[in-house]
Amino acid sequence: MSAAAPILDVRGLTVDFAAADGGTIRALHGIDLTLTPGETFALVGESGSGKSVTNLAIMGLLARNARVGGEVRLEGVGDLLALSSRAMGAVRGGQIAMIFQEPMTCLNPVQTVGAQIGEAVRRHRGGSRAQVQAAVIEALAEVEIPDPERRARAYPHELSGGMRQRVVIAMALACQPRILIADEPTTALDVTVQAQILRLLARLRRERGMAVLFITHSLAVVAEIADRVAVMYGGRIVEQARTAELFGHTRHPYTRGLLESLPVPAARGERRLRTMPGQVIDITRPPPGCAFGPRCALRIEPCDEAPIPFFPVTPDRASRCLRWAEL
Amino acid sequence: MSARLLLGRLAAAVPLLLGISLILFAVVHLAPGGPLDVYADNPSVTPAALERLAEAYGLKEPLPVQYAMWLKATVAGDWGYSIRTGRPVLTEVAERLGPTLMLAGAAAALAFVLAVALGTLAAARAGRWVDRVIDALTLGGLSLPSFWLALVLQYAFAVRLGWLPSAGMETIGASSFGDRLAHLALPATVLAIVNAASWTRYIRAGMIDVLSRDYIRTAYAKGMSERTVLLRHGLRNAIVPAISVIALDLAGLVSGAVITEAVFAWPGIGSLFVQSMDGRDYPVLMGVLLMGSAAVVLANIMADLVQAVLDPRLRDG
Repeated sequence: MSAAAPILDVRGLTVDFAAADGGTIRALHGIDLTLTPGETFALVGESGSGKSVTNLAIMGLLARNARVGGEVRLEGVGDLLALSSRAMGAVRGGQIAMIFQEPMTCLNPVQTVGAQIGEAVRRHRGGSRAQVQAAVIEALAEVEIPDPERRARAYPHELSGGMRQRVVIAMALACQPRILIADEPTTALDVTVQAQILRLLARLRRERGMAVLFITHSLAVVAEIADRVAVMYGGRIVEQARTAELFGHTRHPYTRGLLESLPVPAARGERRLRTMPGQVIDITRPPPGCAFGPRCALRIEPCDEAPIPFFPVTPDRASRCLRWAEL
Repeated sequence: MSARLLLGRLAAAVPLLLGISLILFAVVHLAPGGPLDVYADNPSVTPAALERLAEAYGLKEPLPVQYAMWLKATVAGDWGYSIRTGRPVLTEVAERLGPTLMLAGAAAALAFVLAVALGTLAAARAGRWVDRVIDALTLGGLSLPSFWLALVLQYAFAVRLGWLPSAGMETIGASSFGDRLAHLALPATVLAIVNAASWTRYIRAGMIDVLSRDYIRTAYAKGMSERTVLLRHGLRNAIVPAISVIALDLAGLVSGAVITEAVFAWPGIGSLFVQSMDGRDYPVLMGVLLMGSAAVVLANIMADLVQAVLDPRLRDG
């Protein structure tokens, strides 16, 4: 879709979980996405839409009862799903780094933050003790942590949530990864800290030319940072577009529902917060046709008959809705 | 834990030990029979002589007075004299403490290594066959009575195979480090197996809990191998909750593994306890029991210390 050669090319990614009753539950139904250097690509969706499973599948971090299919091609490396666990260990943290939703719990409570960052540096860049220590201080300074020499000796519980998220970002970026996967990195933070972290991520991406895969449930965050966006529902991407286009004119009723549920200032006349009718689909019992069908106001008979293909709207965008042209 | 907190804990242990000593004193004296009963059926000991002995040992005083006398002397370092041997109680206990500490230390070290290895392995492969085998082994270790295990090992390795000595702490006249080690092997193994079985379960449970934490996923996301994640990130966190249990078991070992020491004739606190019990040797019994209580109280304080060393979040608490 983008002109530049992709650094990450995900094709037909499927994930099935072995269920307790011996069957399998399909959590991802063939995800296609590409990341080009320097861009921020947002995956947006409700809880259970499959966005976190997508990122864990790319990183090879799913639980043992998950079966992953399809291809995850990293430029210069090949299909990550075919790598040995040793080779994948070099990719993880080295080429693709990750930051998480819960800065309060994703750091080891019994190690200093300096030790935790240093461990990643030693693993991927090596060097003497002094070199590693210098890289740790530099990484902490780069995420704008004041007094990095002292902070490196602090334990996670001695830092605030915003500081911990900065530490997590420093840890991810200390090894100069080409791709950063950010899984709801600001959800657990309060709004002012959220804005600081988003600005920090935007600056680091700009300076380093990293590609960022940003996972969020917040369209407000998407509008602020993403170049392109894919909306997920029920384990599929239902709409994909440039961010401005998506917010300008959505081509999928689910996206429209999400946009309409955003709180708008009262001055625009509408006082009540709009909500989407119905419940998120139960992925253990997927409908044969459109996953969003049961909640959709535009549903017509063919919607329920077979899975909906991805219709190219323009070369840059696509929608999984039979009636995209009418929207 | 700061030094001030540690001093506070030690100070709090004093009234605790006083309370324990009071209860112990009462229980020991409530048990039927007395130290002079051995002589009761002896025709050459006259009732008048018994009277004099009771008088001399203070056995005619009311119990509270006996306790006050005992406490005053004990605090002053005079633990009395053994009724059975006539030697000072402190000497009796001190002599036995060395062998018991040696046995307890060897057993605990062995058990700890076993438990960490098996518990970590079981947790890392939870639900799979390795885990099930370890589960069966630990269940076996917990269910086997230690006297039975001791007798079986003694029969197999000392009697049938003749590889190891059957009892005692050293060969009289041929004592050496190797000889000590050979004598230590069987009793230490018995105690190690019994303790490792329960410790393994605690470490497995702690590890399974820890492995589901977010920071474990973070470590994998950094590219760490499973081995590094388990040993560097998992183990230290998983051991912390198990420390309290391990410390109490250690205190149990130090205050005398009564049955195992008896089976292997190990000259430790446990054997001393059995002998003193048989002879209603109040002063020695009180000494042994008090030392055991002190071991439990100290083990708890040690556990807090070790936990604070392992987990910085507990240091300021």
